[in-house]
Order: sequence, then C-alpha cells, then structure tokens
Amino acid sequence: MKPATIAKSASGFRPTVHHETLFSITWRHFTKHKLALLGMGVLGILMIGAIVVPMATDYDPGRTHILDKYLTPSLEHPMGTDGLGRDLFIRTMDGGRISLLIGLLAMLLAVSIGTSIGAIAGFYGGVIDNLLMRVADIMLTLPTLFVAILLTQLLRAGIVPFLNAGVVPIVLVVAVTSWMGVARLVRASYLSIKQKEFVEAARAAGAGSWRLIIRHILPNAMSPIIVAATLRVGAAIITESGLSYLGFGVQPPTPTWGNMLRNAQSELDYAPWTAIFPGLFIFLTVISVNYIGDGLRDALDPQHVE
Amino acid sequence: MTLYIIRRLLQAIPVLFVISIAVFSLIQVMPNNPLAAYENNPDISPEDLLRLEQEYGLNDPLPIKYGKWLSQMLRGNWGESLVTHRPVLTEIAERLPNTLYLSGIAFAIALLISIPVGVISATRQYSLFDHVVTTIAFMGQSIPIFWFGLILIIVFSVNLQNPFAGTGLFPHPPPLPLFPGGGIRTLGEYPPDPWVDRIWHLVLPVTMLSVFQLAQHVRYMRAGMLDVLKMDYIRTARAKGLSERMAIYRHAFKNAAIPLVTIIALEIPGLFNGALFTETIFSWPGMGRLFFNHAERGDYPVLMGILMISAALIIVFNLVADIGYGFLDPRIRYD
Repeated sequence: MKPATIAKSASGFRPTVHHETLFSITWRHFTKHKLALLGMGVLGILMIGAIVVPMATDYDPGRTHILDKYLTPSLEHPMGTDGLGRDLFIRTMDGGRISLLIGLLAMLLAVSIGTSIGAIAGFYGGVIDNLLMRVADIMLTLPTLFVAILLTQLLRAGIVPFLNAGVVPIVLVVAVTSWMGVARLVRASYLSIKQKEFVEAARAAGAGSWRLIIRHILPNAMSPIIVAATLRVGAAIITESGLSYLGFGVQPPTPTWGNMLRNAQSELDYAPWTAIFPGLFIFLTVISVNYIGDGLRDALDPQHVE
Repeated sequence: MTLYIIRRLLQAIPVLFVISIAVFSLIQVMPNNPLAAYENNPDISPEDLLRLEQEYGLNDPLPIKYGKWLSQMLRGNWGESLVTHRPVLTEIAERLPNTLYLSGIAFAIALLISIPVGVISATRQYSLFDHVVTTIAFMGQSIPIFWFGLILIIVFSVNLQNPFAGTGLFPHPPPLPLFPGGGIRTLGEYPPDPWVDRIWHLVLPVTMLSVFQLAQHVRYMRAGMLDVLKMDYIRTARAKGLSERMAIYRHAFKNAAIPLVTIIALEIPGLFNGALFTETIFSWPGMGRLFFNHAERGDYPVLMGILMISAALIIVFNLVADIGYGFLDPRIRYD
C-alpha cells in the first residue's frame, strides 16, 4: 500500500499520480526536525573522526610517554594528556570507535531478542504470551545495573567458554538486560496487527505462522521498532560506559569512553580534563542519538500533522 | 482495597521465587569449592574431605540443595560475606537506611521541582521558558550520570570555595570546598552544626541522583498536561467562567499526572542503578556502594542478598505507585 498524492498536471485536467515511498515520506518529515538533522551531523562527524583519526596518525594511542604526563590541553595535545602521558584526543577517538561499536552491536542484539520474543508472544498469545511476558516482568523488577555487573563477573570468570573475550561479554550483558522494552512494544503491535484483514487474507491464501510473523506482520510493526532501536544505541552506550567506568566493562588498555574515566575521579584536583573530554563525547553521542530518535518518532508517526 | 494489596503481594511471591532460583543457580555455577581451603592441608586426608562433603551435603541432588538453601533463607540466614565474614543480612541492614535516605530525598526533590515546572512549561507552550525547559530536560536525559557527578565535583568541590568557611556555620578554616566531594558527614575536628552538615553533604549526591528523574518527569508532566488541556472538559471548565488557575490545577492536573505515575513505576529500578553510581562516586555508605565494593571481590552471597532485597523493594514501590493510580483516576478499580 503506497500512499499516493494526487497532483494537478500542467494541463490541469489529467491528474498524474505521484507515488511516494515510506522512506521518502519519512525522510521529508525527518528533515523538518532541525535538531534531529543536527544530531545526525554531529554523530556522522564523531563516527568519521573515530574511524579516520586513529588511522591517519602514526601516534600509538597505547604507548606511554611518562615525561609528558598530565599536560594541559594545548595545540599539540588538544585534550591534554593522561597520567601515563598518552594523548587524550587520539585516545578519545580510538575509544569512540569501540564505544560506538559496542553501542551498535548491543542494540542489534537487544532489538533482535526483543523483537523475536515480542513477536512470538503477541502472535501466539495464550500460555506462551503469558510465560514470555512474565520473564520480561521479572527482568523489569530487577535493577539492571546490578544484574549487569553480576553477569559480567560471571562471564569473565569464564563459566561459559568463548563468551569472555574482548567486547563479547559487555555486548551480551547490555543486550540481555535491555530487550524487555522492545519486546513489550513489539508484542503490542503484533496483538493489534494480527487482527487486521490483510493478515486474515494471507492466512486464507495459505501462509503459515512463520510467514505471517516475518513477511506480513513485521514490516507493518517496523516503525516503533526503528524508533526504539535508535534510542537503544544511546542507552547501550550509556550502560557500557557506566559499566566500564566502574571497572566491569571493557578492560584497559583497550580504551572506551567509560574506562578512560576510570581513574578520572582521583585526578580531578589537578587534571580535570581527563574527566571532562571522554564524558563530553558520551554526552554528545547520546544526545545526538536521542534527537535522531525523536525526529524519527515524529516522522514515522502516522498521525503526524504537517 | 486491602484485598487488592494482599493479592498483589501474593503475586510477588512467584517473582521472588524465580529470582531465588536464579540466585541459587548462579551460586551453583560459581567456580568455587567451599572446601578448597582444606584441599592442600596435610592434616586433612582425602577421606576426611569426602566425609566433610557428605556432612555439608555438597553431594546432594540440586533440588534438595535448593530446598535446604531456601529454608535457611526464609529463616533469615542468608549466609555470610566471603570478605568480611559477617552475616549478609547484617551487612545490608547497615547500609540500606543510607540508600533509602539518599534516594528518598532525591525522589522527593525531583517530584517537587518537575511537577510545577512541567505544568508551567505546558501552559506556556512554545514560550522561552518552555524552550529552555525542554532543552534542559532533553540534556538531562542524555547525560551519563556518573560523568555528571564528576563534573559536579570539579565545579562545586574543586573550583568553588565555601564563603562561610571559618564562620559559625562552618568552623573549618578556609580553604573549604563549597560542597563536599564525598561522605555523609564531616569527620575531624571542625564539624558544623549536624543539620547544616547533613544538608551540606546531601546537595551534590542528591543533584546527581535526581537529574535523570527530574528530566524524565518534566517531559512526562508537560506531555500529559498538553494532552489534557486539549480536552473538551477543560474547555467547558473555562467556558463556565472558571479561572485559568482553577481549570488547570483543579480539573486538568489529576488526569495529566497519570502518565507521570506510569513512568515513576517504571523508573524505580533505575533509582537503584543511579544509587550505585552516586554512592560510589560520593563515597556514600549505602547499598549501591556495598554492591560495588563486593562485586569487585566476587563476594556472591552479599551480591545475591542485595539483588533479592532490591527486587523485593521494587515490587513494594511498584505496588505503591499502582495505588497512587487509583487516587488519581477513580475509573481504575481494584478488584
């Protein structure tokens, strides 16, 4: 079902039908949200910076220069240096790559888990729905950060083989503690969409349950999923940086915005820049992502009034 | 009503039961053997070890182990800390009041500020005040709270000095920070008046802990109010000559606050997350900091205890929020 606008042709008599795709409509609405566009710009620059800067320089972000420790920000070191004399600008960019990567991976995993569980619960209903939603409820009654810390400790103890390497534990933990919101949203969409006539028609045409769930209902439930997925990137970056800040996330020497702040508190008296810059980048990223999510929510809203 | 509360509390039992199974399984998968300390002890023979294993029931089937563990839990024996060797419940009981004190004040302040700000922002939609409020609220939702805490310390405890240092209010001679960067009360020889000291130590942690909720509540209060103000019954109230104040506060407010209560209920677990960061950064002797310190050392009995207690508290607070619904919206029946 493509929405169509009927425009008067030049001759004024024969109307020409001008088709718009969902993407172009969304994009048109989205570009009206100036802050969302700004957020997209900022995020784009951050991503390019995080990829290009560490590649473009021959400065080794891990190498220590003990004589240059705690240099105040200057032209040579735009964000100063840390207690081991490492340039904070390069490290922040390098860490940004990993923080953004974790944010995206954790979002993908959380949204996949949430969508699958929500879709199955909403589509089948009954006992399955009840069971899955009680699991979500229980997860929602636990303080997620506490659970996340406990799980990382367990994964890092190597209880499950292969799941304790690199960014794997943190991505898993962030996803496992954050799929519930998406599941509830998706379940609600499936509950209402499965009543629609077109689903009935597809079923009558012989489509099986899985085909209905994936091919027929999912595309129609996409809007809230896209918005939730966008916002989840920001939330995942916040959770990752929080866990890493506390020392339960990605371990040094691999920098992330969170673990760069690890020692910052003891350095506040004489080197506040070590605390300011990595956090500022988390903040900039998350606020950009949230504005993009806000813009998408407005743009994808079917009741959107121009 | 009483029946409803009783039923809700009964519904909490399966939740706590499932959590207890999760807790128990986590302890089981932990790679540590309670008898490890004896393994290399020359005075203890392998036969003794076997006998001890039997005696402590280490070889029992899992359901029996769980049953024994649960019955001890219910009797208040939650095991002891692997670090301090004190009972888990004692450890938690010492810290819990400090957490409730800090979070309670932060929660109350967030509500007291966000409700009027949200209402004013909605009634003057698109005014300068509204723009400033929505922008700040958006920022407050995006800021990583632990970083916000660090910034508060840089500004208020490293850079700004207390102008009252050395006076009757704060006997400590200058230099004294404007607000302390940690702790719950002043230690040492220059304690200020206990009440002043209390509030002085609360300012930064409460600011840090309430910022996210404040931002969230303002957005929901504003959105709720905007929705309600469009309703016909508000137009009726205005049309029959009620003052704007009456229309807003008597007629619109209660309905506008309903979404706020929903979000408050959803946020309660978040309050515990916030407490963990706040207590860690401001060396606040609460449950969050207890969890952090003991997580670093893999002290699972304490961690599990804290998890159980916070889950139970979250269930109770959720119930309170649900009862709050009934007060705001009489259409909601408890039956």
